[in-house]
Amino acid sequence: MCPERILDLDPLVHAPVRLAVLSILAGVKDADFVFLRESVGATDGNLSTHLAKLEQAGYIRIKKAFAGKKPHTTCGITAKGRKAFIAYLEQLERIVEGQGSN
Amino acid sequence: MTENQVQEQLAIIRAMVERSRRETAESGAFFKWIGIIGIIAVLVISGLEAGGLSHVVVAVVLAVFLASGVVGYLTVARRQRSAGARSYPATICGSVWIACSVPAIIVLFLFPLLGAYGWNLGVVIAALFMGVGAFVSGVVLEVRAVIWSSLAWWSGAVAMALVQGPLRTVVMVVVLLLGMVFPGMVLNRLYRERRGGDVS
Repeated sequence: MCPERILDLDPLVHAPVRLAVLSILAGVKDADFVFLRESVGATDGNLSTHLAKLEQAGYIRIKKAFAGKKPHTTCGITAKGRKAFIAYLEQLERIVEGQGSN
Repeated sequence: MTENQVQEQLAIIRAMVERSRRETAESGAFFKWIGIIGIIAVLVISGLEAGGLSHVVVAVVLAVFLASGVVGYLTVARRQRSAGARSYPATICGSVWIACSVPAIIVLFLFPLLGAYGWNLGVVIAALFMGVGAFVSGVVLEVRAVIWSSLAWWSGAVAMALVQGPLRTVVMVVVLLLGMVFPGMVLNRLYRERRGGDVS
């Protein structure tokens, strides 16, 4: 495995929780915080931290609203986030192909 | 990065994609309930006409359309709320049914009221719009049974143009069964299969 290939991997996407979040959001229009938390299996605080990082990078958009008196947070992937996710998948594919040919 | 690490990353992606597909799958409730409401309405309208109460039929049809709209909206909203995510297919299907229902209401009520044609023709044209809704939904949801259900609407429209009276009522009930209730049942079966039977 070439070291430069590892360095190519986007560290923002590479973390398991963030990769899981982007994998979900890539396939849906939007998802709420509870859905993401239950799918990813992270705690509220942990997930919030990862979501904030993805939002800062412009990979997701977070919308905060109220459903009655309860806060309701929904997340959706941005065009930049989708591009980064696809690029990450392509890099994984290249790594797998590289390992297969070794 | 070792092969195991790559496989772990791929496993995360696969698991999340599968989970979001499973959780946002179309339950078929929209189709089933609209179909059932439609069948009840057709039978009530037929009874009203047979009882010489034709003057209230338009009001009943309008009430049924409004009730269907409310039930449809509530069904979809409830499903999305319980899932916690909105899928692209569900969003597109919702938009398509709105786009088909609006012209259906226009041809059913507005044009006959304006004297463009008689009341009997409205339902024939409306069935064509419903067929479009079923066809596009089937393509978007990738369910052949829903695609084929559009044929029930389109052939039903032709049949309704040819027959009148009680026979037309039978045709309408068959169209609603094959064009709404049946695809709703198929979607519900697929939904249950996808969720491993864990559905009430």
